[in-house]
Amino acid sequence: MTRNKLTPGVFLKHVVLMFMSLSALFPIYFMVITSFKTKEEYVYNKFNLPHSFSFESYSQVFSGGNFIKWFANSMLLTFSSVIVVAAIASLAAYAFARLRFRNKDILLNFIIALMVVPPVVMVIPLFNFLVDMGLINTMYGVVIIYVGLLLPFSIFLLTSFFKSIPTSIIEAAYLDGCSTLQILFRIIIPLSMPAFVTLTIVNVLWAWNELMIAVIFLQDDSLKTLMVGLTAFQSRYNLNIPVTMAGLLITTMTVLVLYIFGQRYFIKGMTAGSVKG
Amino acid sequence: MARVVLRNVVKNFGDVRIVKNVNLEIEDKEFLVLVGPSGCGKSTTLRMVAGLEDLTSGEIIIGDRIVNDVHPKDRGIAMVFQNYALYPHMDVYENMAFGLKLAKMPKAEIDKRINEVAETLGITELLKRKPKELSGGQRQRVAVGRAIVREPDVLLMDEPLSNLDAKLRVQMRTELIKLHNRLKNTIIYVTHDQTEAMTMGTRIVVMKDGVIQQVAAPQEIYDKPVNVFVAGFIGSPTMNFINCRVISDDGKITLDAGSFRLPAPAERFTLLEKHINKEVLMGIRPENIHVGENAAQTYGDSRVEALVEVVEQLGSEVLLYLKADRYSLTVRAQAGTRAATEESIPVFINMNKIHIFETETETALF
Ligand SMILES: Nc1ncnc2c1ncn2[C@@H]1O[C@H](COP(=O)(O)OP(=O)(O)OP(=O)(O)O)[C@@H](O)[C@H]1O
Ligand SMILES: [Mg+2]
Repeated sequence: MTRNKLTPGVFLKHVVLMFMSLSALFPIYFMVITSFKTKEEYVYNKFNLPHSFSFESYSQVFSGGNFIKWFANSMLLTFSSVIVVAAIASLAAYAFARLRFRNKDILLNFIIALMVVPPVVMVIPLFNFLVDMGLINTMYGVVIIYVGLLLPFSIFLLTSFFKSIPTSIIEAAYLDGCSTLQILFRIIIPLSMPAFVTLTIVNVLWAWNELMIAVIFLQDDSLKTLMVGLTAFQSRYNLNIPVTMAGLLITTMTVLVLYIFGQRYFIKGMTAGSVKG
Repeated sequence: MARVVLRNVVKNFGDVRIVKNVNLEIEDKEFLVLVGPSGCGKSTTLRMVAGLEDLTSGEIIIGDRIVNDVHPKDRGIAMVFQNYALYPHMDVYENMAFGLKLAKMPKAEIDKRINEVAETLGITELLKRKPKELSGGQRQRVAVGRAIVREPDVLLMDEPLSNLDAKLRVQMRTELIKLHNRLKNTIIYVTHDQTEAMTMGTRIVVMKDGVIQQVAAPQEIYDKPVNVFVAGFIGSPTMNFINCRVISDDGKITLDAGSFRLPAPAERFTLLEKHINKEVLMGIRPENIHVGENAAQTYGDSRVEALVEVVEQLGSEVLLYLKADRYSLTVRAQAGTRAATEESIPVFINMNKIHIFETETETALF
């Protein structure tokens, strides 16, 4: 390692980077310290570490049962959407990447183009659609919408990953006696774990944090998601910032834990060594 | 064990005809090498036998069945790919077991077979390794192992050695020959390397632009190429070619190359008589052009003056690259032969070893 000389340019770069990291980390810092303060302490001590270190906010979050209910709803909604998306997207991507059929490229480009449509323009048509289907105010309805919104990117990502798997590996499996579906399940999917982990993380984050559709389509109190609930939290406990922060921290931690577990799969190189070095 | 027959096999990709009416009979236990320049349709032909490509027309017979509509797994074949195509997420054992498991073979039998094959190929210590933890040569062995563990009647190999370095390639070449001697299955082996073809094949098929040029044993292909393409493709360094006019004088036949004339061998007169006063192409292999005192005595009347351009000392022999008139000549001379570049030296052609090709059709008269 050679040490960089501290020229004014390098110095400036570091200052800018440090400033950016701090401003990104500050909300988290604020969330953590505030959640351990009492409501009273927060009044006079906004930005310093808590003196009392109280868990009161946390017990308040969990009391009443609503938070747990919302948490469960979010879990259910997120994971069922993500699983359905993974199932449909892997079948579709397999077809796009490996099978031959008419107008394949046109269809794929069309699906990819759907990524740019902002969900907000679809709210009214979707609302009418769900009303007609009798799915308004149901988990099913929202899962269908989430799946629809997540599919284009998921298909796009998996298709490009599946295409990168050497054809000869798939041909070898075919000669070994694999059926089309066995090739998908025993060769392509195991080789695409990094792609699936990436995709799952991206999709979970999106679904977990999604607010607009959940607000509009899940108005029944018992169906609220964590995000919707926390927004309500804020207005109901308007003056109790520590409780809101505790709720937010739990929400954030959930996806953070998932991300950290998934991260080791981000390391690529699963296919390295299968074909010529 | 099985023989393989290709009957009027044609393959089009879109509008382009890649394989043009191939007819081929491969005997049981034969080591057949399919050789030809890049893009001539060797892989395509092999892949049709494997069942990875459909035929546009014609039929392929393995054993005594037409296999056009038979699934690859039921054809009794196995294939070794150029890039090995090992399953990256499985260790060596699982790679070899995969096909057998799919065929629902009992575990004990799978285990027995894999251990035997691993023993044969010297890869027993590698069974628990993943492909990425293997060297190129080891991967190659595993790829061969995965193919032969299925005990195929016909083993298909598409340039299996081309990703190895030169030394390893020579070593694997002899190992594959030994393996074939032991297993005695039919092998169809694709390569664009004529040395591999010469050393490994019991018979060689030379292909060009989707058409079979010649099918014969290595020595026969070398000694009696049927056309200019085969003559030039097989043999290294390649055959020398000289344009000549056939001239009859005094009951003898001479080949006139412009600035020098060469006497045709007497036993070829009858074949050449039909071509008197016509242009032909003469071919002569580098080892049949000689230099030095002894050569002057033996082949004195087929002397050509040539300018030395490059001298390659290979240790066991010397390659001389010469220019005679407008022709480039390569001469394979004995070790110890001395020649200086830019020097003009006499070379002597062993006229009993020449080949003559018709100019228009490029087919061999002899
Ligand atoms: N799937 C395909 N679609 C269209 N053309 C193809 C396809 N596969 C091969 N070809 C063409 O067919 C011709 C023969 O290909 P093939 O792979 O059989 O050549 P080869 O003799 O094996 O050459 P090499 O020594 O380079 O491997 C080439 O011109 C190639 O471009
Ligand atoms: Mg090829």
